[in-house]
Amino acid sequence: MDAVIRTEELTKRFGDRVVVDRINLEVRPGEIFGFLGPNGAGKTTTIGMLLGLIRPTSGRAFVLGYDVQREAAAALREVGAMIEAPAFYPYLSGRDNLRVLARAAGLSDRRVDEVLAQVDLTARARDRFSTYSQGMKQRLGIAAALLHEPRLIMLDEPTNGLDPAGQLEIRNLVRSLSGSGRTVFLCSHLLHEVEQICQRVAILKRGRIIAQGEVASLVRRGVLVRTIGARERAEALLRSTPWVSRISEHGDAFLIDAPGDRTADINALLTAGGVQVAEIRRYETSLEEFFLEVTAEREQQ
Amino acid sequence: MINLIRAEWLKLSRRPLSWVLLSIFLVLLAAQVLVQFVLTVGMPVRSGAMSAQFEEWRRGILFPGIFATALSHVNGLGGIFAVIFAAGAIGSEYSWGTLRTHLARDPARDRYLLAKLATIMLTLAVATLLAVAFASLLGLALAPLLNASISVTPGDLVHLILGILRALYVLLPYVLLTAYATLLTRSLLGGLAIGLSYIIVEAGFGALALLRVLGGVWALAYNLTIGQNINTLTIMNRHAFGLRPETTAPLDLSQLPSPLQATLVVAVYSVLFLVLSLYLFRTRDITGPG
Repeated sequence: MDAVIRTEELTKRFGDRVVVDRINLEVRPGEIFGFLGPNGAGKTTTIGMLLGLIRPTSGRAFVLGYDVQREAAAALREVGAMIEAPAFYPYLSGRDNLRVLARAAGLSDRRVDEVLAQVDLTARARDRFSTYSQGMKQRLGIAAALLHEPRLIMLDEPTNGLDPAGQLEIRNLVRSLSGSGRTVFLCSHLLHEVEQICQRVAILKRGRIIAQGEVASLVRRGVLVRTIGARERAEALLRSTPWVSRISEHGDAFLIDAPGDRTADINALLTAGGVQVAEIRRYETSLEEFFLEVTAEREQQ
Repeated sequence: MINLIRAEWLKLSRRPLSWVLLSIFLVLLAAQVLVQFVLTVGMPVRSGAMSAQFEEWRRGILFPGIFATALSHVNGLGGIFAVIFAAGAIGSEYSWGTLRTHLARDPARDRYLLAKLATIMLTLAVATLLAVAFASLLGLALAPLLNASISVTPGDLVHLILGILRALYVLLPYVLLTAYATLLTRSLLGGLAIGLSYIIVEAGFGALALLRVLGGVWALAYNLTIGQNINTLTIMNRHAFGLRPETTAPLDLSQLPSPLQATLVVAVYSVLFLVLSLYLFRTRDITGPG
């Protein structure tokens, strides 16, 4: 099936400032896709363009196969979204806020009660939105996004302002949404959160995508080796082995792309070659480390 | 469109601001009627111009003149309330960020804005009906105290329907001007400031009326202002129920635009503000709350 979200050189300028710079995204059906970046990277502006709220300066955005600029109604018919903080009428109850959206979409009040139950808000449904805790507001935002049973759900910083328990609750909810066959486009600056629940990610920095791919491929696994001198000799020995695919410097050590169970083999190889090993261990970078690495590379460039 | 109007109605009818404005509006209407009543019964017998003024006030609290008083209240103070109400209904969507919540689900911006404006006018129609009903109750209570009969003919009821439509038509350009100003500034306060400023400049200071004294093109320009044309329509409402404001106020009816011109000029302003609002709303980016 075609991509659920696809952008082609999507760009947005506000005056002279380029907020989103020629981004090319592809989100596949049924996946949880993480859209990462520090605050101010252009994530919310990108979501705004995907939802037809913000006009691109150039480039195109396709949602569920429709061009958002030309066929917005068709594109957004099966999209549910929560952008930044959940925005509702403070004087209305949570239930009435959803009833407003349901009425506008021609949906029944029964559907409102169903989604309230789905996000576990039934008990407080008749209380005013202004009295809700941050976690309840986020859950109501997700309920609103689910109201018309969308195929694609876009959530912008859904765990913002939540305590660890609240964050876990939202993560479980997102997982269950994906489990029911929906595609989730999750915008966040919390890298550990994305690493836990997303299959693929794109990293945005200053409006540009600097990395995109499977989380598993971005998170680097290998063996870290620190030798006592003889660095050139050690590198030559390692390069001569067929199961070492890449060697890079990592401070005063080497980071070797090799299966973790080859640690003993590497040790034997280096020792036999006359290189003294000070430290050798399995190594795994987190998405956060990867993010810092690629953003640092960009800074240097 | 009907679904959107139902959604807007739910929002506006549950909003405390709507009820606060309606309550103040009705209290002020009651105050006006009671002041006219007190002046009518509490003053000694008069003659000449004073007598005509007092007679006008008396007719204004009896049937069918009480209808004219209610409609005059709608087009007087009601204009200010309509501006506050319209600015609140549109501006709060920006400040609360709820506009983004709606348009992310249904991107048809024209339809959304038209439904919102239709609901604002519908709410103002309900408020006008309530004002007429409330004034009628006051009229029913006061008539026996003034030894007056309560008589409403079928003709009065026809005039009442036309009068209500005319009163709403008079409010329309102010509501649409406020809508445009609110969209332009993306703010409740911006819309409120511009809408109320226009009313104050036009009605409060009478500054625009000075243009008429200059004659020629200036007088023509003055005759094309919203306020001058609305005067024609509001006086028609008073005449329809037997009131004669020209006998007690320095009002030269020959200087007023014709009913046809008044109707057309108000329509032109309304269409202009509506088109500008739709264009602005359709072409602008919708960003976060603020």
